[in-house]
Amino acid sequence: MMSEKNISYISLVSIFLIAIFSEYFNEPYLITLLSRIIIFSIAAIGLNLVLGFGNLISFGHAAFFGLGGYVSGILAIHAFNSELLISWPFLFNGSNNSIIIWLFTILFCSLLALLVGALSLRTSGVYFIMITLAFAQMLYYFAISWPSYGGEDGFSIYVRSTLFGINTMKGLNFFFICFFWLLIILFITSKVVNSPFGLALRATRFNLTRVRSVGINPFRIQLIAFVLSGAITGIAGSLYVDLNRFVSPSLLSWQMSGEFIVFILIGGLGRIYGPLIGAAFFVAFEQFFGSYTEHWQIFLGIIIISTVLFAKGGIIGFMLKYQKNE
Amino acid sequence: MNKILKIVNLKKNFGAITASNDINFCLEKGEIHALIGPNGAGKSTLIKQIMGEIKQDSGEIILSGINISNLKTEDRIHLGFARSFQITDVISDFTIFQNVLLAKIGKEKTFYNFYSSIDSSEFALEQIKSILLKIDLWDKKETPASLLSHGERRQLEIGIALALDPKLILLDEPMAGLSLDKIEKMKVIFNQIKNDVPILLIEHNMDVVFSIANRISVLVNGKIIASGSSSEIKSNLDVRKAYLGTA
Repeated sequence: MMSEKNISYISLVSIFLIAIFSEYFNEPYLITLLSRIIIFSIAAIGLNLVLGFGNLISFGHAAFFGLGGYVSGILAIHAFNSELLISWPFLFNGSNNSIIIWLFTILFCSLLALLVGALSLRTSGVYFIMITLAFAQMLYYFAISWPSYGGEDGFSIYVRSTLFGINTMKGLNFFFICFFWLLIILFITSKVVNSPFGLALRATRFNLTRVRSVGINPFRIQLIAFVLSGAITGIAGSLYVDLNRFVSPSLLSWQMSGEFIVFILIGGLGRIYGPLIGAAFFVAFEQFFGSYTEHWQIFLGIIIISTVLFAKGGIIGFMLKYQKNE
Repeated sequence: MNKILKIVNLKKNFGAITASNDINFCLEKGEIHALIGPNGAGKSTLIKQIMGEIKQDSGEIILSGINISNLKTEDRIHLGFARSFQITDVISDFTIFQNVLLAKIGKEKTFYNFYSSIDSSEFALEQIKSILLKIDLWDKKETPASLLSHGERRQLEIGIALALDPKLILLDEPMAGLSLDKIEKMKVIFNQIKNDVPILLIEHNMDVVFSIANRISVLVNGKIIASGSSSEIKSNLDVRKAYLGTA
């Protein structure tokens, strides 16, 4: 019996096994690809929390992805160059310790999400989409015009950050770190979605008046979800920069925000594992068709249109429906 | 303290129109108090002021001795208001159980609980079960609200109101559009509930009002012109003239 749970577990196990086999058959490129899939899905899982469960269409989640990336990159490059990052209230040279980098990422992305959320959640519908996009674009142009960190060109970090003495430069080890993060994030989101808080969040999606009438302030619920969402997407940004050892303003671009939404739509809106399946499909699709033509996005367009028209539950929804009909 | 809700000299104008003209009335323990009046008499405006959705120009609203005149709707709900809507308003994608659970979560302020599972039926199960039994929907607890009949939705509304563990319930035309046997069923439910929670009833169906209300207040042009038992209201001349249309 293929339940949503089974589909989810199968996809997790397959990704893990493919990585192990790739190592065995000496295909490092494939491992990098898998890490990318995982990182993208973490970013989209963060977005899915507000988009899928709260119906808040944020078109600016690249802001958190990019901020996570820049925070990590800046900390790492200062540590690498032994260059002073701040001199007050204490001297700080940045850090190449992953734990510290992640903590800073979570802190900064939560604060940004708090700010963006507090302002944009006062609007709804199209205005919410536009205001979140506007925040992301502001950061994007700020990054482009910030010469200290490469401006338009971005900058490279030469080694990955360290974690408990693991050799993070080895592809498979870094994959394990990403995979571990994915498990944590999946655990947290499924816990949150099925909690009383999650029920309240899902209720805000349908009927704000009803939510208020039982004494719940929907704004606070949405804001907390938004902060959590921003922090998760930020972690993905941090991992992404570490994977590529490269930071650039494109992390903050609106195309990035759009891709996160596409992962969710393809995989299945409002399903915990939807973004994972969506991101895997997207990256595989890009690799496969990208090797034939640089216009592979035409085919992606067809897929997206058919998903929206014929398979509203995304791939997961389609699979569940298909076997029901059988 | 028998007076659960007390409205004192409540006034509200919209420009030149007087929607509430010096309204005084109260809701006592164990009673169903019906508020009737022709369309445009100011019933909705009065309810909105009681709920805190619009602010009165002057006068006081007192709940169990606490002056709540200046509180926001959410705060009033936490103090013990429950309301079922004129337009039946449940979350149709949620099951019956989830709808009532949401109210419980709101009441107990457990909406910042991120870790308890609402699937493992432990969470607030007993309380919700007793409510669903009262409104006769326990058997259908896993049914999505979108699949309910009109009458069952009304029952669910009452259940949501009860989950808020209220000091009083405001029922806004609970019988509208219900079949006769459903109305009889609702009457039974109301008569049961009123012993736990007094009910302020807004209802157009006069048979219902006269058969279950312990007291009736008649609102005409923003003013309460009469207040009393069914027989007193039926025989009141002003009421007959202004409202029932037969002098």
